Parts: sequence; C-alpha cells; structure tokens
Amino acid sequence: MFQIQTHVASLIFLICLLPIGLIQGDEKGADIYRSQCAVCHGENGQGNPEHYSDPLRGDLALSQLEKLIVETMPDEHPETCVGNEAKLVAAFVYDRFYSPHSQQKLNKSRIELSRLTVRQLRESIVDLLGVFSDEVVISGERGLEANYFASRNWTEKKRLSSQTDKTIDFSNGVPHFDPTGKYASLKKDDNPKKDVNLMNHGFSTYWRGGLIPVETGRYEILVESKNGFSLAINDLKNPLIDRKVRSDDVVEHRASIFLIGGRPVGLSLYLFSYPQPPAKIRLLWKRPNGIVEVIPESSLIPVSPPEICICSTIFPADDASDGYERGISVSEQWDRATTDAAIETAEWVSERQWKLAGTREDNKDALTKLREFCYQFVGRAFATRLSQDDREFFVDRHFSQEISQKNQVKRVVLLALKSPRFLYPAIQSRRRSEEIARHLALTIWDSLPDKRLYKVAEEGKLVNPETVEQESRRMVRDWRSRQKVKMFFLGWLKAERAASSAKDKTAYPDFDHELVADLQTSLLLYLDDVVWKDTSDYRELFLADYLYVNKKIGAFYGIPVSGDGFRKVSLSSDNRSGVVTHPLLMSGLAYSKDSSPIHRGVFIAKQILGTSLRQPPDNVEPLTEEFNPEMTTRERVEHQTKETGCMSCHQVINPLGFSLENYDAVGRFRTHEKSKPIDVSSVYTSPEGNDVKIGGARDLAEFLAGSERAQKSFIRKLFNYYTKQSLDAFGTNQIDELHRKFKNSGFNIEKLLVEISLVPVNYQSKKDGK
Amino acid sequence: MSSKIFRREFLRGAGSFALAFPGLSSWHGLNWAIPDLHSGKKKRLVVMFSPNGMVREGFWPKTEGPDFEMDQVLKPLETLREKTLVVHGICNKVRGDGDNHMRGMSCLLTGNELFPGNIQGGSDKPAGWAKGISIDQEIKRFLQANQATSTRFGTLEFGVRVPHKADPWTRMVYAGPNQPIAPIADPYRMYEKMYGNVKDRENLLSVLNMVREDMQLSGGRVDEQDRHLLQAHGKYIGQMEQELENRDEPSYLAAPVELPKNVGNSDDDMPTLSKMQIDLLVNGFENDLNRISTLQYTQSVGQSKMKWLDISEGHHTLSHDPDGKKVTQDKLRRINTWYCEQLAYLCKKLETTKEPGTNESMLDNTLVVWTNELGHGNSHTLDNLPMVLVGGGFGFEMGRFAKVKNVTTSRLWMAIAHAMGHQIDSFGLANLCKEGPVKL
Repeated sequence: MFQIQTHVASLIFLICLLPIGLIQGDEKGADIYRSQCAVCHGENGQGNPEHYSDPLRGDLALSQLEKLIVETMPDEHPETCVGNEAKLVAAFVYDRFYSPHSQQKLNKSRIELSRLTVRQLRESIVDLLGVFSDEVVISGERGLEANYFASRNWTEKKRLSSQTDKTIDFSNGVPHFDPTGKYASLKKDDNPKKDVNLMNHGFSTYWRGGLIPVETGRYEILVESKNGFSLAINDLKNPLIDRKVRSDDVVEHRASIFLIGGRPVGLSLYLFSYPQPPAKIRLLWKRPNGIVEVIPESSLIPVSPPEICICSTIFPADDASDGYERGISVSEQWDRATTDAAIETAEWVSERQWKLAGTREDNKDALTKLREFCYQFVGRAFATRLSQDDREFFVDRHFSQEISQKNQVKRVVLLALKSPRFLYPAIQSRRRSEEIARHLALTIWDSLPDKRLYKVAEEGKLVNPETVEQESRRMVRDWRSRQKVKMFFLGWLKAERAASSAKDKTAYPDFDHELVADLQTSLLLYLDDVVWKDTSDYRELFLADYLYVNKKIGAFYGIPVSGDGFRKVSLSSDNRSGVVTHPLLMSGLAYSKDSSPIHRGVFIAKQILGTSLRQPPDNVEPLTEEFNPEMTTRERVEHQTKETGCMSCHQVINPLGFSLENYDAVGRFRTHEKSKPIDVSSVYTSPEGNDVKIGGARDLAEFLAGSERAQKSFIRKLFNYYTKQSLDAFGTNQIDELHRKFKNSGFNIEKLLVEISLVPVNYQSKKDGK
Repeated sequence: MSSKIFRREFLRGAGSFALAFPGLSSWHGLNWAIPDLHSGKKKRLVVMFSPNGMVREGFWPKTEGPDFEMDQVLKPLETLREKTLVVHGICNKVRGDGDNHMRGMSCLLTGNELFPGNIQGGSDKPAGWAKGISIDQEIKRFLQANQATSTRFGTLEFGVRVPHKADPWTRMVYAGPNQPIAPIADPYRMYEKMYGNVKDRENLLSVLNMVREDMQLSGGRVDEQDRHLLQAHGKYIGQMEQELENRDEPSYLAAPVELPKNVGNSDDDMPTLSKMQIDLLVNGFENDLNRISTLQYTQSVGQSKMKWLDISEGHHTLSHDPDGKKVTQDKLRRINTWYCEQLAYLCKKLETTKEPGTNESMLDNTLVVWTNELGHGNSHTLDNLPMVLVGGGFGFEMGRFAKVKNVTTSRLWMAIAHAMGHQIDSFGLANLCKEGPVKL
C-alpha cells in the first residue's frame, strides 16, 4: 500500500475501464499490479473499501513512487517487489492512473451541473426579497442605540439620555432609572400610588438596532427581567416576547427564532419600569449548539436593518464528500424541503404583498403594481429580464385565475421557487452579461445579484472584462463575501470540532464553555483582521505574533490585558505564531488532559499541506500516561509509532506535531512537562523527500508560510469552496496560473478571491471564442 | 350554508391526510375525527362575551320558572325560549390584585386570582395575568385527550373588534397560569387558520404541473451528462403531484364558508364582522375542527360606538351613568339587545344546521353561554353576572328563569364541565368550589 500521496483531482473517482493498447513493458507491469496490488487498491487504483479505500493518485515523481514501492510494498512484504518489478509496476501505476496527467485523462474533470446548496438557497431567498427594501450599510460600529426617559413612554421632554450601549447586561440596575433614589426608600408593601409623582411618570428605555447572528440555525433568545418589556427581532411589528404586562415575578423569558449567519436583523427592546423602579434587565442568547451568554457587543449594531425573509425550513445536508458542500445530487427529502421553503416564502410574501409592491391595497393602481412586483420577483429569482412568454407563463396565468390576490401571488412565488431556473443557476437561459452576474453573485456571495449588479448586467456592461473585475473586487469586499470567507476558514481550520473539545475538570478547572466561546470570537477577530486589512497577506495567517484577548482569555492564559472587550496583544514571548498556535486550535487538537502531537501533525499535514494520509490502523489506542508515568507525551508517541509500518506516515505526522509541544492540552505555553524540558526540535521529511529542520512553533509557521505545497492546497480548497467546482475542470494549468498570480500579489487573499471568481468567466469567454 | 357531505371522507376518518404528506410540515393536522361512534353524541360549548355589565330593567325576568318574561333585551331569543335558561345569582368571588374590570375579565372563566403585576386599573393594586387555566381550555384538554372526542383544534377563539393590545382587560381565555390566549378578531385570519392548508394544497397542485413543463424545457438546456439530475428531480415532483391529486376533493364535511370580501375593521363594520365570525364558528363545528369556541365582543371596558343603533357615545362611558338616567338606560338596553341578537343569530344558525350525517339540529348538541365581566355597569359589581344558557341543555333544565344565591362562577363552570363529561372536583380557587357544581 502507498502511504503517502497528494491530492490532485478532488473529483469523485469514476470507475471506468479504458481500452488502451498496452505495450510490452506495460503488460508486465499490469500483470504485477493485478497479482500483487489490485486486491487492496482495486483493479484501476480506485481503492478497495475493505483494505485501502483512498484512490491511488498523487503528485510524487515516478522515481519517488518507485522508491516507495521498493521500501513499503506490498504491505508487510516489501521484499517481494523490488528491482525491475518495482520499476515496471511503478511505471504502470504512474501512467495508468497515479499521475495528475493520467487522472486528467481518466476523470475528464468537468464542470458539473449543480443545484443551489442549502446555504445558497437561504441566502438567495433573503436577497431576492431584499432588493425590494432598502440596503443596509453596516459600519464597524457596535452596540445598540439607547434612549432613556423619565416617563413610561417615549416623551422627548422627559429624555434622560441617548447613548450607545455595548450590551444589555444590567443585572445590577438599568442606568438613569430612579435618579433620586426616592423609590428605593418606599417601603416594599406600600401602595406605590402614594408617591404620586413617581407613579405618574415611571421610566423607560428603548434600545434599537440590529443583531448579527454568528451562524445559521435556531437561536434561543432570553430576556431576564421582572419588569415590563417587549422584544422584537426582524419582524419589528410583532414582538417575539411581549411582556408589557408584568405578571408575577417571573424573571426569565424565552423565545426561539431561526436566524441566518452574518445576516443582520432588526432588534428593538422596550423596557419600562412602572410603577416599580429600579429595573434590571439582561438580553441573552443561546446560539445553535452554543451556551447561554449575554449577546456580545460584536453581534449588536446601532442601525436597524429592514426586515428580511428568513427561510427556516430544515433541509437534508448537502453532499460534502469532496470536502466542500455542493449540490450535485437531489433526493425526495430535498425536493420536499424545497417545497416547504417555497410555501414558507410564499406565505411571507403574501403577508407583505402590498408593501413589497410599493402600494396600498386600496390604491387605484394596486393590482397593476402587484403584477409588476411579480414580474420583478420572478426576474430576480432567475437573474434575468423575463421574456413576454416567461411573463405569461410565470405570472399572468395565475392572475387570470378566479382566486384571491393573496393566492395569486402565492402561486407566482411557489412556481418561481420550484422552477429549475431558480434552483439550478447554471442552466443557461440568460444573456451573457446576466450569466456573468449570476455567476459572480453565486461564487462570491452564495446568493443572487444585488441591485447594482443587476443594473450593470442589464446594461450589458459585464461583457467587458474590466467591468467584471471591478464588480468582483467590489463584491469581494462586501459583508456577504466576508461571511462566506469566514465560513471557509472555519471549515478549513476545523474550528467547529475545536470548539466542542472538553477538558479534564481537575487538571483544567477554569477551562469552561464561556472560555471556548471567547476563543472562537478571538479566532474570528484574528482571521477578520488578517484577511480584510490592506495587505490581506496569506503568510500572516501563520506568522502573526498577536492574539485577540479579552479579560477572561487573558486571565486563563496569563496574558496581561486592560479594558473591556477584545484587544490585540503581541505574544512573541511564548512563541505564538499565527492560526496554528491559536489556543482554540491547540486545545481542540489535544486530549482532555494531554496534548496530542498526532492530532496536530495530522491536521497540519492534511489541512494545511494538503497531504493525503492513509487511514490509521484500527484498534490502536493511544498510550496513556499510565503506560509509563515517567514518559513525556512526545516520548510516548515516539515509543508507540517507532515500527516501520507506522513510520511511513508518522515520519510526516510526528515532526509537525512535536514542533507544537510547547502548547499543552488547553493551548497554554509550557517549557516543561513532568519536570523535563520540552523538546520541540524535529526533522520533517516532505513527500518529495526534502528534509526540513523545525525548531518549534515559529519555525513551523515559517515553513508553512513559505511552502508552495501549502499555498497550492490553500488555493484549491478556497477555489472548491468558492465555486463548488473542481479547479481542474477549468484546465490543469489553472493551479499553476493561480499560484503565480497569488505569489506576484504578495500572497494577497483578497486578490486571490477576485482571481478565483474570474476563472470560470474567462474559461467560458475563451470557449465562446471571445 | 352547504351541508354537503363527502361520504368517502366521512368514512375515511382521522389522520389519513397527514399520513399522506409526511414531509410537508405545514400540512399536518387535518385529522378531524369521525363523529363519536363510541360515546354517543358530540357535545359542544360556546362562551359568548359582551362587556360593561347588564342593565337591570329590560333584561332580568321578574318571574321565576318556565313562565319567565322575555323583555326587550331577551326578545330576540323568543323563538328559542324552550331551549333558554336564564340564571340569576352567579357571582365572581375572586378577589386580590387588579380592579373589577380586570378581575371581571381575566378571572371570569378562570375562577382564579391575578398575579401581582404592573397593570394599574382605576383602583386597587396593579396586577398581571390570571393564575390559572380557563374553563373552555380545561374542557378542551379533557376532550383532546380522548381520541373519540379530539379534534384538529379543540378550541377556536373568535373575537369581534378586540383591540390589538394585550392586557388583563382584553383576555379571558387562558391556557394556564400566565398564558393568555388572544382571540382572533380578523375573520380572514381565522379563515386562514381553519382552511389555509387546503388553499396551500390547491396552490401547490396548480403549480406542480407547470414546474414539470418548465423542467422539460430546462432539460434541453443542460449537458447530457447532467440530465440525470433533472430527471431524478422531475420524478420527485411527479410523485408529489400524484399524492396531492389522489386527494381529489377538499376533504371537508361542509364546504368552507364564503366570506364577503374587503370588510374593514372599524366599529361601523362590527355587525358584518360579527356575522362573519358566527358563520365561521358554525362552519368549524360542521367540519368538526373543534368542539369549543369562545366569542369575545370587544373587551372589558369596551368603548364601541354603535352608530348603526344611533348611539354615538362609547359603551363603557355610557355604562357609568346612574340608573336614573333614562336616556342612557335606553341606549344600554339597545346595545345589549343588539348583543342578544348576535346570540340569537348564532343559536338559530346552530338550530337550522344539521349535525353532519344525521337529521339532528346542531343546537341540540351545543350549549351556548352568554355572559359579561360585570353584573351591573355603574356599580362595577362582580355579583349576579348576566348568565344566559341556550341549547340542548346537557341535563340542565332549560326553558326557565332560575334564581340561585351567591353561587360562584367556579361552581357553574364545574357544572358545565360535568355536563360535558369532564368530572372535575374543583376548578380555579378551591375555596370557591366547596359546595360542588351548582344544580340547575
């Protein structure tokens, strides 16, 4: 079995027998392969789930491949295939299916028709209806607008204060209420009406602004207060929690709401204290799979976005067999979910149809406007200007039915959202300029074009390459793009898994859920910082020596930090270097008590360097401390993996992992383990056979930042996530081309995103001969 | 109203529709029950509320027993005299926080106190919601727990001109402590609730064949290697279409009622809204969507201006005038007569509607209760609440005027629960139930 290969094509391996006339030597090689290799690797190198399931493909040179066969193959009896036999079988394997070139021939990587992914469907529905209301401009400002009054309602002359509140966390009393302290002096059982002045006025606060959800899913929203209040989210006309009637001393009030990650929704909270000041209030949430926490400042904005249409239908998960979600299959369950989503949206639209149409039911031209809205709606859904036939088919037919206007509109929405022209954006049915707009929006935002892009497309300007690039640059900087890029990074760094790690309570009593939640925020701030500043330098992902730290993180990791919220703190003292050493990743890639060089090494080899590793053998438990309490973690790993059979993979894994041994199971910096000094020095042998000396985290980071293999792996992964297609489908030279541009730009991620979005556009233009 | 019966649906019974659409979450629950084959006749309950207390003159009969007078207010019920029982002496004895209008409303059907809160009435301590479940919801719980008597909704809460605000003056129905249920005052919204899913089915069915047409067109535009994806997709759409088609007719025993279009929501629309809601209420019973309905006119302290009766003042303002003011008394009598006309319209509609599948009058299987949050307007008393029962009786001796003394509302609700088959020993505050259900 081959232990090391490198991914080239990430497409599902298609089993196919090619009628190739075999030359003499090739026949011999084929015979050897069939008799000694095929049982584990499959007749055509496709793999055999019972032995070695990964397909045989990679980017080793022929000579390296031959060397590997001599040294390790067949598994457990490498001595039976050496010399000329090894040379012949290596040549056969290489030409037939191993090399990138043969893969390309075999696979015929092609651009596959995809339906919208679940994320794309949800995002599209938001933007499809979003074009009928004002666009949101979100600045960096955080917190909620707050208006305080010495009256039960908003009364200008009774205003106490206008301010921005970072969070709503007033468990010790809301500011400005009861300024004289008079109320507090009243006896508990006194009828408050005795103090006429106080009774007549009361106090109130109106918090207004927006809420930015972190991820998509069902959120629990909690308000803790004994006072009267009313909380609305997204639909500001209908409160999510209406507690204007205070009844009994119930403190906790809950409601649940489905929200879409990164999509700001309006929020308003009205609190009043009448007739019982002082008031206390806290606004909290429980994110999907998260913990109950005060809604953080980073998720609150002082501007109120218009209501959005949130599709909360639960869908079956998208195919992610190639490491990124894409819509290459349909199922009955999925079809039903799209129907549910269409019904849900139709309901939402019909409830607001007059407003969306920009008219009122009793206006003279209401019906005309309503029909015009329907044309617009369907056109936006398909990202095209409708033909007369389309108008008739998708809209007019419903309007000629003897049913209520509400149902006419519902039918328009149902038909449009069930149409393949909406669900399969790649179905060519648009003018070229519109096709490019559809592609850019889908690639950069996972959504539909916005107003401006529609306009540019409608004017036919997108056939001009400069305009396309200009639009792409604009769109890449948009917050919708930032959300998509954020999702990519969280997937790339496997941050979700890292966030679910639990630690030994005795060894690390202070490592709690709150800390993990803060570490997640810290990582996101860091990524945002690196990716969206001017340099947008990929290498800084590995080389930055700073962390975002708040008080809680600072206290746990012994990092001095002043002030509230998150601060950027330089950490050169403990060798901290980039994402790889971020405490969230380090604690995620560890056991509950000990560090895990193997997890860390595998993560770097696979995720960062794009190396494909053989599945670990079954039934191997990691040696625990009890095996030998004297041994350090590194010593135990070395002891357990010293066999030749193990070393073929572990010579890659171990050195990478050992270099991070300065970070314990919670990612705290250490210099000793069991009173022995930590040994981080190691030698990493690349699949190409080069030796790299690594003397710790900083060395590792520098090696990764400069590794062409890592850079190309990053480009491929980003391309896949962005376009939902294989890069090779657009030509095998694309990877080198993108890498060249990436390098020339100073490894600028933002520019790479633009370049990636242009690959399919240029490919199509070339194909069309333009 | 049509009482056409789709016999096949009638026989097919509960749950089959929901079974046919396992994936469609918004479609669940068209599982109307088969008429009680096991436990005999259906029993239905309607509680109708109108506000601000009752005039003494012109409402209360003078003669006890079957020869009672039906004066001006009760006149509209004349033809239903044999099925009418007027009771004097039912008192809301719940005390504690909140003013009389608040307790009159929120304690009326709950027989329970209000929580301390922040709603300040005209007097007394501020209060919040009721501490317990209301009688309609209690009986619903009982009916829904038994397969033979369970229906899709159990209860429907109708309102007419109930203002869009939530406080103890506007809520009489409670699902439990601190859980007020808002009545639906918009008949179109109520219609959506009752029949919306049928419309969704029709809408979906009407577009699915168009989707398939569209699909075929699109199929021609994609690469041959990709066509399988669209073909698989088309197959699922065909499947769904077939499932929907197999349910040929709207599966109701009676056709959904046709509502007049574009009716507004102002005091002037009140008579039309009232008629629409009553039509829907009876229609719901016909289709056995529920066995219990509440019908709430405005709210306690309601200020409707009934211009169609030539009355321009608000109802609550009028109710504060002293009994000696003859003009006001006359207006209040006309207002309450109008309410009684609504009751009569409802009861007559029930009377002429046949129990689906039988020749029986629906009124015989229904008990309608008309009451109020106060006994008398200007005194704000919670004693001697007007209490008019109409219907088959369920064991009550109908066709008379009965006087009882200081009987708590809880004791009446217990009696009604027992009549509906729900044998409760106590309801609301236990100390108000000591003497057990009232015998009428």
